[in-house]
Amino acid sequence: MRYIILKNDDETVIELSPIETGYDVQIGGEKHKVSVAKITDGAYSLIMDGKSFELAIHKEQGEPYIVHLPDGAIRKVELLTPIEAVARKHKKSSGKGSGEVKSPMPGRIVKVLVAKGQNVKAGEALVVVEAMKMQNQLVSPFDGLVKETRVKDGESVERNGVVAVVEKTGAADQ
Amino acid sequence: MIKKVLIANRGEIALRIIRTLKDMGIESVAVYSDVDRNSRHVRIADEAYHIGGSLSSESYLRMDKIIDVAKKSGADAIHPGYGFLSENDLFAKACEDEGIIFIGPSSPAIHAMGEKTRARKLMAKAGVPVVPGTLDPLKDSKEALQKAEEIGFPVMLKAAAGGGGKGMRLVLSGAETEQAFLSASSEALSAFGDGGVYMEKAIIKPRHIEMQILMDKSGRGVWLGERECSMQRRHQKVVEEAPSPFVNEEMRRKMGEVAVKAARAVGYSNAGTIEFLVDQEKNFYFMEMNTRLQVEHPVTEAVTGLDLVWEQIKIAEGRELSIRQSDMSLRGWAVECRVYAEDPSRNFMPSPGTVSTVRIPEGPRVRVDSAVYAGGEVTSYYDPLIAKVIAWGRDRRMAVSTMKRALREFVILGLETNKYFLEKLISHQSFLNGEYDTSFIAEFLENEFREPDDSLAANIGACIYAYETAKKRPHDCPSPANVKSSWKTMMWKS
Repeated sequence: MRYIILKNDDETVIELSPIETGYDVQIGGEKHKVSVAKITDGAYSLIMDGKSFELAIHKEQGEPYIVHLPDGAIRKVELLTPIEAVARKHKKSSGKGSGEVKSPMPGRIVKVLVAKGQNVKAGEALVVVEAMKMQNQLVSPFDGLVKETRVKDGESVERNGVVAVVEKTGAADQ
Repeated sequence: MIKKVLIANRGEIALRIIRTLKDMGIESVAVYSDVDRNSRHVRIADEAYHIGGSLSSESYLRMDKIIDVAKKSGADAIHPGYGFLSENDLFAKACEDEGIIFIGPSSPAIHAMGEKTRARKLMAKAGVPVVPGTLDPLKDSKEALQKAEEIGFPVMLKAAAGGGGKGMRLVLSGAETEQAFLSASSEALSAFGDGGVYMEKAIIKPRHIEMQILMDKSGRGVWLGERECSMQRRHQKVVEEAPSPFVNEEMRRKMGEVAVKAARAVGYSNAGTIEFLVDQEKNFYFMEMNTRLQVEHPVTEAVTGLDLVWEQIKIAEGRELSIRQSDMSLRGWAVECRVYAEDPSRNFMPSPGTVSTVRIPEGPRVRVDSAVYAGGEVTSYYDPLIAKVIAWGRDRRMAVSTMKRALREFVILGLETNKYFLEKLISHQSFLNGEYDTSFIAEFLENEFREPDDSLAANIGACIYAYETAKKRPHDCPSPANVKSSWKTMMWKS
């Protein structure tokens, strides 16, 4: 089975071939024999060239693979199947900044700082959100015009909920 | 004799208190909000009662409901933990009025220390060194400017009612004063319901060192040594240790004696902590008193061998202190790291979520206080503290290397945490040398902290996981391409 690892737009191909004790792995011209023991769901023991790695792995739909290593660090691995890699190339050319400002976490809207029709600068605070006893500002991604605000003071917001939409200055002329 | 204790708290501290209650053979009563039905403190307690909605203002801050439950369940005492109602003198008073023992100081003692300007005045009168500044809250930004010029820039604005860095601003010049005063005041108002702000001379690159004390009801007191708490970000402690590498025997004794004197001045009983600001010449100034159990109390427990909750309960029962100052000796070194649900690479943005996997570190010299469990949710309603990891060693070096090992062993998946950041922090040469102050984290984050490098094992592991998961579910379509969604690139500030 072949996978493509995506890192900063660079693609690296990994080829897995099952063997009795685990997998033969080919990556970037190198070959590794990897002994694999699955301990529980998402918990693997890998022995690679004599070195032992205990891994904990977690994956959410649409998010990268999260891999915890014995060095205590978490690596995020973006992995594509060959089909997904092709689909990504098609999508790439059509992507544009939407200007939708979303809350990256659930919380409570403390204050909406801007109104529809207002000009804002890149980095200017639009909305203050409180979560976990901390107040955070959601800022405009670019210089532009506030097209709409979708929340009011005191309301709750879901993770990824859109709080405001900003239209890039000059975007209408293009 | 206390036979049954209600714990007016949640999370790791509720769990920690219940454990000592069990050790003492005392029954425990938990309370919980809507979202906490599955929480571990509810499951481990002997009894548990629902007290309201998930917002803390509807549950853990509801004195009336908590006291009702105490009466209904026949609890003879309430332990408030830290945060929530722990430093609320009205709550202590309500307990006193109902004949319920409040495991903490009396309501007048909490009141005396509760408001910072009042405490500063009292301490100055009692001969405890305080940072030069105003003794009363400032009336307006005009007065702020005038006082700042008298004291001399830089100055620090602080919320009179507050703590935990809320309503706090460093002011470097006259031009910044008005804006800083207004924002500190409004932040203080929203956090504590009191917009009062006072001013102190700013001590540049101070250390934050605190002294743990125990006082019994007859006024006998002991000091149990200091905790070094200078590793802070935005005035929130991140790493603590006991003892402090900056404090020698003589300074420790002086700080301890001042701390007991400060407590005695307000008729304090039970466990308490005096926080000191320490300048580079080892001058120390009273900052505030925390009239409760501290988050970081386990490092003191590790070097003294005491159980502070146990001592709190004995004091609350009215017993004499079982330890004398002359019996006190510190043994070895202890470090605590606070693991938070937050993302260091995005300016420590809170990262609530569901924990998918947890593996708690084990083995020699490691203690973990945590309420986390696989499948449990870290919600945005409460503090983002997930776990406290405490490591002990015969000396500082041993304690720090054990901590490093414990953090590496600690697995929490499903949400972002600062665990890797913590490990890099304690591996830094300045930390290893014990040479750091409260400005360290900001500089470290700006100049040195980097995300981990690529790892072959991680890449191969992810592929194997993907392959074996797909093999198990052969009819699944391939997921849509993992194109990053737009919100990830957005900037957050605070």
